[in-house]
Amino acid sequence: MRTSSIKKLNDAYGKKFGFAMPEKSVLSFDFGLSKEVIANISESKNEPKWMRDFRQASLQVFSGMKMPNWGPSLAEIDFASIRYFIKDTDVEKRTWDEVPSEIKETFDRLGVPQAEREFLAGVKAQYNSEVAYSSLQKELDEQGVIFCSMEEALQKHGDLFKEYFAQLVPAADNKFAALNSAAWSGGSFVYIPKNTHVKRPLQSYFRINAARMGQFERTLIIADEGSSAHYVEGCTAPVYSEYSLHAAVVEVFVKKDARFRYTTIQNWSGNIYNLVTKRAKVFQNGVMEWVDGNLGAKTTMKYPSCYLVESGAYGEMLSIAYAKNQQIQDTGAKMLHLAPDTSSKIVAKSVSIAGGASNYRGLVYVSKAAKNSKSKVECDALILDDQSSTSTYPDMKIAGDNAVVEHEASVSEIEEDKLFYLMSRGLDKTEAITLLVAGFIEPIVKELPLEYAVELNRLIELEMEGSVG
Amino acid sequence: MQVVLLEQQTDYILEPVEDTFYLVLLNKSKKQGKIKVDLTFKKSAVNCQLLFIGRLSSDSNWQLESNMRHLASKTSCLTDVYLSQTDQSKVDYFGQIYIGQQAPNTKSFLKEQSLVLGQATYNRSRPILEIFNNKVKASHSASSSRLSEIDLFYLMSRGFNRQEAEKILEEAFFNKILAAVKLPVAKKLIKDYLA
Repeated sequence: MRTSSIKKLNDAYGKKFGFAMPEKSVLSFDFGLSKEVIANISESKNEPKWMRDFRQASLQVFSGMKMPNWGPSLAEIDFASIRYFIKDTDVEKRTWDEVPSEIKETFDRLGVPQAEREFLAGVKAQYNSEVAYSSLQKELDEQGVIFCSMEEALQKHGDLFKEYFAQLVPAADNKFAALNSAAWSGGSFVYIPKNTHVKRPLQSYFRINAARMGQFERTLIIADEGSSAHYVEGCTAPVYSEYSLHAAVVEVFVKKDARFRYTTIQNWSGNIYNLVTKRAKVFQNGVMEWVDGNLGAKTTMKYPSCYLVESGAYGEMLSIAYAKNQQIQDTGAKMLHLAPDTSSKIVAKSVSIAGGASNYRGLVYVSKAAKNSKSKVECDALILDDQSSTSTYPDMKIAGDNAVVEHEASVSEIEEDKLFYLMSRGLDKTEAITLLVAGFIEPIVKELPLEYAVELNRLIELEMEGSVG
Repeated sequence: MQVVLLEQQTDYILEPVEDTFYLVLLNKSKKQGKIKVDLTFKKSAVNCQLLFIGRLSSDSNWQLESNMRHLASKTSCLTDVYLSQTDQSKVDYFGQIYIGQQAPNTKSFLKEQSLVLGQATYNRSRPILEIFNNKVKASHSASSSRLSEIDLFYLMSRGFNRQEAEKILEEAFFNKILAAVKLPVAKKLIKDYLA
C-alpha cells in the first residue's frame, strides 16, 4: 500500500516537474576537480589574476578539509564523478526574444506564473552553470541598482566586487564553501545604492539540467545605507537516476538602516544534494529577513545566518521544510548577536511524510558585548505517519547581560477532532489533511509573493495526493 | 507516585517501572558540579517527572544533562529545569527527548527556565527532540531572562531595597514550580532547599 502510494507520488512529481531537457552545452569540462579544470574555468571567464589565485587557493583548502562529521550522511558524494562547469550559452542574451527556445520551453513547463512573465525582462534566469538570460530593467538602471551576473560584475564593477567577495563566507568556512570558492560559476550580483528602495522583487531562477553536474552559483548582495529590496530565487530540476550536487554560497551585506529580504523556494529533484551556505552581515538598525521553503532535494543542509554586528540590527528567519520519500531536510538558522540591542526571530515549520526526515538545527549566540539583546525561536513539526521522523537540535549560548532568549519546539500529528470536523463537512481524508497541512504552514506562506504562495500550495496539494489515507 | 531524590551520584541510569517523581536539588555550596540523568522507558504506561532545581551561587559552574528515551507505548515524562543564576555563574544544559517507533501514544515535555540575577553569567542550553513516531505529543521550551526592571521598580517604590526586591522576585520565580508540584514529600524537600 505504502509502496504504491510513494510510486504514485513519484509519478505525479515526475509528470509535473521531472522532465529533462536534452543537454546541448556549448562548453563543458571533464568530470572531476583539478588545478587544470579550475584554471580552465578562470580562462573561459577571462578572470583577473586575484580571482584565479583565489580559486586555486580555495581548491587547496577544499582538498585539505574533511567532510562534516555531523548531520545527514554525505558519503555517497563522489567529487571525482561531478562535472564542475557547463556553459549553456556562449554569450549572455540581452533580450527575451534571443533566449533559446528550449530554455523558454523549460520555463513554460516549470509553470512560471503569469505575474512573473510580465516582469520577465527583469529576471535573471540561471540555466545550468551560467546565466542564460540577462536584461536589466530600465527602472533599475535609473535607480542606479546593479543586478547582473557575478561574471559581469567581476568584469565591470571589479573594485566593488573585490571589496565584498568572500568577506563573509571565506573559502575555509566549510568544505562546500571551499568547493564553491574554487568552482563557482554564475549567480547574481546585486548592489542597491544608498536610500534606494526597489519596489519590485528581484527574481532569479536556478536550474540544473545535466546529470552529475554540480552547480556552484555564488550570490553577492550589498544593500547600502537606508536602502530596501527583496530578492527571490526559486529552484526546480529534472529527475535523474544519478545524484547531482548543488553547493551554493550567498553573501548579503545589509548596511545601516537598510532592509533586505531574501526568499528561496527550493524544489530540486529527489536526487540532488543541496548544501548551501547563506550568510548576512547586518549593520546598525539594519533588517535582514530570510524566507526559506525547502521541498525538494535528496538531502538538504542549509542554515542561513545573520551576523548582527552593530546596535539595533535585526535578523529574521522564516522557514518551511517538507520531507517525503526518504528525503532529509536538515535545515535551520543561526543568529549571532555581537552588538548591544540586537534582536532576532526564527520561525521554523516542518512536515514529514512517507518516510521523510525533517531536522531543525539552529544556533542563537549572544556575545558578552550584546547587552539588552532579544531572541525568539519557534519550531513546529507535523509528522503524518509512523515511517517518518522529525528532530530539533537547537543550541543557545548566552553571555550578554540583560539578554532575553526564548525557544519553543513542538511535535504533533494531525489532530483527530479537526480531521473529523472537516470530514463531517464533506471533505475526504486526503483533502482534509491537505487543508490542515496548508493551514499549518500558512503563517510562512503568507510572507511569500502571491505567485509563489499559490505555486507552493499547489505543490503541497500534489505531494499529498495518494500519500495519505 | 513515589518520590526519589537524586543526590548522591553524578550519573544516573534509570529504567522506571512505576510512576516516579525524580528530584534533583543542586548543591548550593558547590562551586562546580555535573549531573546526568538517563531515564529509559521500557515498560508501557509508566509516567514520570524529573525536576532540577538550582540556585547557582557566584562563580559556580554546572553541567546538567537529561536524556528521556521512550521505548514503550503510553509512557509520559515531564522534565523541568528551574535555575537562578548569580554573578559569573555558568550553566550548560543538554536535554534530550527520544521517542522510538515502538512507542506510540507517548507524551514528553521539557521546560528549562533560567532567571539571571547577577552580571557576567553564561547559559548554554541544548534541548533536543528526536521523534520517530507520529502518535506523540512532545515539546520543549527554554528561556533565559533577567528580573523584570518594572517589577523591581514597583517593589522598590513600596520601600524594599534592591536586594530585598530581587529576593522576592526570585521566590516568585520558584513558587511557579512549587505550586505545580502536588506531592507533599517533594514539596517539602523543595521548600527546605529554597529556604
